Amino acid sequence: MIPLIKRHTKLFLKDKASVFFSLLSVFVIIALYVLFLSESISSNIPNFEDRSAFVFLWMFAGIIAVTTATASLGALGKFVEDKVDYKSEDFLMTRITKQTLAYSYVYYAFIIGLIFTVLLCVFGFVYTFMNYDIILHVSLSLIATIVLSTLMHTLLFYLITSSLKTMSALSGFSTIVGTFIGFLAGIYIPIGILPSYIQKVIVLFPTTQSTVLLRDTLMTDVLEPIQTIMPSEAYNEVVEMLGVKLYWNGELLSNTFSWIYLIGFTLLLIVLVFLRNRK
Amino acid sequence: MLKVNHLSKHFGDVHAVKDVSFHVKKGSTFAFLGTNGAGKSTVIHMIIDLLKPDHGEITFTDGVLQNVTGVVFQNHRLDEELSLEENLIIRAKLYGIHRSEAKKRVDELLELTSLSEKRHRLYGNCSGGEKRKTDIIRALLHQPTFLILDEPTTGLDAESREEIWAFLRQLQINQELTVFLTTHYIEEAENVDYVVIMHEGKIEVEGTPNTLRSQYAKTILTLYPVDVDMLLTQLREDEHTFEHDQHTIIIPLEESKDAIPILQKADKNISHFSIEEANLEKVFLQVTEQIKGKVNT
Repeated sequence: MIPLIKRHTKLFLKDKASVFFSLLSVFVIIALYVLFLSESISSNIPNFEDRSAFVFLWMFAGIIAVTTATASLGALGKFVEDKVDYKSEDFLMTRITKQTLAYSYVYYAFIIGLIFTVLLCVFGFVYTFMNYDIILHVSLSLIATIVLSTLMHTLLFYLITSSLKTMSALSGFSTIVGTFIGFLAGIYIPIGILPSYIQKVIVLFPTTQSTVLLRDTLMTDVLEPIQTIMPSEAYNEVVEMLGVKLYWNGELLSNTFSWIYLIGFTLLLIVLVFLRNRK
Repeated sequence: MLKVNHLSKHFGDVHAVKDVSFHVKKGSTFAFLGTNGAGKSTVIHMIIDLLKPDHGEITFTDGVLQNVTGVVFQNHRLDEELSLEENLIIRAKLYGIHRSEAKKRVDELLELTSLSEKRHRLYGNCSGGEKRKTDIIRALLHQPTFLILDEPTTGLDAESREEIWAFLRQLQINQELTVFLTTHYIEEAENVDYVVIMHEGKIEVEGTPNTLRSQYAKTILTLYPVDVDMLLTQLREDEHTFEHDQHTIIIPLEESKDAIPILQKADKNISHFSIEEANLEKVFLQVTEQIKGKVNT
């Protein structure tokens, strides 16, 4: 399987357009942040010393969550392309099994997703230190969220792309994901601003859960100061509005809930991928 | 080497392959001919286990499919963005061949095809002939004994086709390969050991090329007479079957040497002559015409 994973990775990285489009949503978010998101989010929270760092880290956590999804989906383009070009048939003429071939795409997309996310993390850590003098720490929680979120998205997109038979179908699906992922991560419009019924739908998406976990981890250093200068009610309103914490029928959803939801969803996907490849 | 018994396949309401049976002998070259949509590719896909037959059985007598079989697909399947060597090494590893051994095997085969100097060239930048040679090398990496070639020379110029065939002939001798071939260029099947002609999912005729030529096609001797009437009289006296017009007389023959006595007798009554050998293309056309005739009646 390793030669296949190497081959998929090599071809993906050689294809500059695929790499670019797998990160397009990230570029769009950064552009929106620079153009107006930063200012519009800032205007909704009280002025305090680390406000710009607060807004950046809020957006940065969203970008990391989005990357765990779009990078693995971009990588799975090779999976669909190989089916369309009948290259999979050629691989099956060797001694590898259909299962090995299928899992080679899952592992490769997971690895690509992980690499891109880690690279963006490094970039974000350096940027935060240089611009806001905040040293972000690589916590176990951060690593676990990134790994779990990347794995979950890889499995989910593998299941979906395994039923796609043309490149135009993949392109259509990628467009849908690219459009909606910014909403699911609560970046384009903060979750708390949305109507309550849409909030309830968004909370069901595991992407939203992983975004919340990432925000909780990455924003620790800026959440504490804002908590001390704001009354608790106002603080709760801000974190609800920005989707730093999720609520269901007015009840705060704990991090434990998000972890269980994300792990449960990933386990379900593992079973589904296993069943699909067993056929 | 390969036994195919009573193979059938439906795609919805379409009966694509109808009770097809044949046997490919070890060391032979077997040609599988047919019109577009005859079911050749479906049979090949079932042989290489990419399609499951509805009925029937496929048996490789010398071992399991992946070990004994090398496949050259009609369309190129290697990665355009990788070099010839990279493509081949990756595939070799998928056969479980160790890197150093894979490298050695790739070197040998590239040398054999005069592609050694182009090993670092991207597959996508190679000519059609070079790509096809690389496809064949890829099929031979694990030293199979059974080589399946699905339209191996389609889209190639005459020179490249000849090169590919010279390489294949050399391989067959050196590596004792059994070759299973489908082709649109029927002349490429003239020298094979056994021919099967399929039409609409069924095997219509089969046999050695010589048998099929003698059964379904005649060698044609065309005479260009100086005096038509005199020559016609002579041919009638000798009880030859022929067709004629004012300028030519066409005589069907069993084989070319049957022309010798006719030419000796007609010597002074003809200005010149031509002989058109019976070939598989004629057999193919004759068979397909017969089938169309049956369908029309």
